[in-house]
Amino acid sequence: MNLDGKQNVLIQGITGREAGFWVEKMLEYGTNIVAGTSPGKGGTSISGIPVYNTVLEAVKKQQVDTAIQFIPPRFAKAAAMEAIEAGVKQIIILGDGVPVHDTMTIIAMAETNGVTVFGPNTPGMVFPGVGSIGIMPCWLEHVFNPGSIAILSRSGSLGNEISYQVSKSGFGISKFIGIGGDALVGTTFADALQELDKDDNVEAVVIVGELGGNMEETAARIIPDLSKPVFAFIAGKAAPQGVPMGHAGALVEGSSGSAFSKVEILREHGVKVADVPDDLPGILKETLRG
Amino acid sequence: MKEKKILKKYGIKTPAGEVATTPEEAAEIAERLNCEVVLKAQVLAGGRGLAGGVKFASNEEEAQKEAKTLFATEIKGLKVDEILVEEKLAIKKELYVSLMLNRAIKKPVMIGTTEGGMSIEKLADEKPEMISQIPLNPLVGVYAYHGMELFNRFDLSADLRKKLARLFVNLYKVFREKEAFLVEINPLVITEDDEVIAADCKLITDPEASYLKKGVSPRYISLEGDIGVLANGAGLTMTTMDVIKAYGGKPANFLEVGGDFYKRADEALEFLLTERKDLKGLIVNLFGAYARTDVIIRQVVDVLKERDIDIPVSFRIRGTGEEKAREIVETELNKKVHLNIEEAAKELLASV
Repeated sequence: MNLDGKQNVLIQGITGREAGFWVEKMLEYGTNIVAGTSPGKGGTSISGIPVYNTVLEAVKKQQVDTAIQFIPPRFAKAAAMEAIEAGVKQIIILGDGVPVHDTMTIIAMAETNGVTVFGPNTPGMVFPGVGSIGIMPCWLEHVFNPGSIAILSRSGSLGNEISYQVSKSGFGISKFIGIGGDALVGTTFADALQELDKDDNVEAVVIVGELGGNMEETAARIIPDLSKPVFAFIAGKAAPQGVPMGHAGALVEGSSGSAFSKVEILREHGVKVADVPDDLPGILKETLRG
Repeated sequence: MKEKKILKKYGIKTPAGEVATTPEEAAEIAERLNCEVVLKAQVLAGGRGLAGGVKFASNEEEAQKEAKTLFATEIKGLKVDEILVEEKLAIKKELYVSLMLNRAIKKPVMIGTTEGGMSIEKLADEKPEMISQIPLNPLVGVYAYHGMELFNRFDLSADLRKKLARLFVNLYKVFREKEAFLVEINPLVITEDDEVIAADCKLITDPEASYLKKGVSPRYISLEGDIGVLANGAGLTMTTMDVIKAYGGKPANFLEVGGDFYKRADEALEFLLTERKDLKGLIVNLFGAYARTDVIIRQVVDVLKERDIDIPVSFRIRGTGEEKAREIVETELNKKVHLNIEEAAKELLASV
């Protein structure tokens, strides 16, 4: 897992309209974008970034740490296979609506090749003041202030909200990591928590979860063994059961996976959980400087 | 029935049978099958066997009589629309087999037991030791050896295990090609002459499956309360509902305009206002990244002005395009834009 804000990034699908906007934003923020791919557009450049036909062509010329996909969800699997076969060790899949069987195949392929996957349906990562890989509004003042807290989020919009609260607390953010809103994602809360526990730039971690699945429950079980304090906010306490809420992952199956049961299990394992986002700064201050 | 047709296409044996919509049709099917039959009431709810929706008949007259009884009954409040008339199998043993996507290990798992008939959840509670499971590598798939392994520990003949192994190879094709979360055969009947027949099947597929044409999913859910909610992104929308609830209000809906839907916020809001004439207030909560708040707010304000809405509306705007979005609300609606959800929620709830 590479959580360094200065790593080398390759943009798959760099010539797309949305990619253009975000490449500009990431470059302005200081991100090391070293290459982009777009079949048939090899040899050109966009915002000064060289464009290659394939990932393999790009990695022969540039050292690439992470490939991020600005690719429609139906082609996420093909793009992931291409990056993995070209030897890229970390991939970020932004697409919302990647078929679950495609994700399952991508994850198996990644495991076989020692590749870390973030997403699908993740907004990417922000390393405040250093770099940004994805579609988070990193440039917003008061939202992504540099600091010592790591945030792990299943959601982009709510990730912004919690980042704003963490910045407001005065501690600031060391890194924001989008885990993804799909039913099946590569890197989970538990995987990222173990990595962040070893990270010297991280003082504490905030988990931004929501109803559905069992990622929060699995994370809760490893939290007592971590050296750093963990905080959380869980969305979906007003949601009815058994109804998918936008995110494919946010479907409550029976009573397990409800926002309430997640809050309860996290609290049982020593996690301080905020009831509303506005409570978070107070809880952080009380625990970390109390 | 639809599921069993799929199994048949993939080379898995299913009982001979047809669907009847009248008692007369049931009699005709029984005549064609020319054997003892089972009549199964078709309702959407599960557990029909337990609900008394299954009858047996040994000839066409009996089939007609039993079908008439079934059509007259209700199962869990649901009317019986169709009856599946199938050959009655000479059951020696009932097994259970399934393939499901296990989200915890991110792999498909094949599951089998010789204790078929009851639900796997119930069996997992009562006799977990009777359930055999093998996690699969989706890059490898399923070969006959997987099925042989799975049923190794049960007292079944080698010949039967070979048949089950072949069945699993075909079932895995269904699982992958239909992009299923779950494909389950329960019961899988072993007949007196050692035929393996899928008596019932459940298939749950991915709503995002690649063979489906991509429609526009509405991302709207109606709830019991009276405070309208419009936000971007599923997580923030749920949080907005949570905050409304935490401060004593009741959300009327879930409606999110994140992702590519941000360009269609006007349609979304029109839909909400048309659908819910009972709203006492509306909260618009945006924290845009990819979704540009100025683009969303332009549409929202236009709809509100056009419809001359007289319920209180409270705004909270942060994120991409926030300056322009805030300006639109402040100059055109003469309304304060909040920086916190909590403040926006409190203002709204105080005014309804």
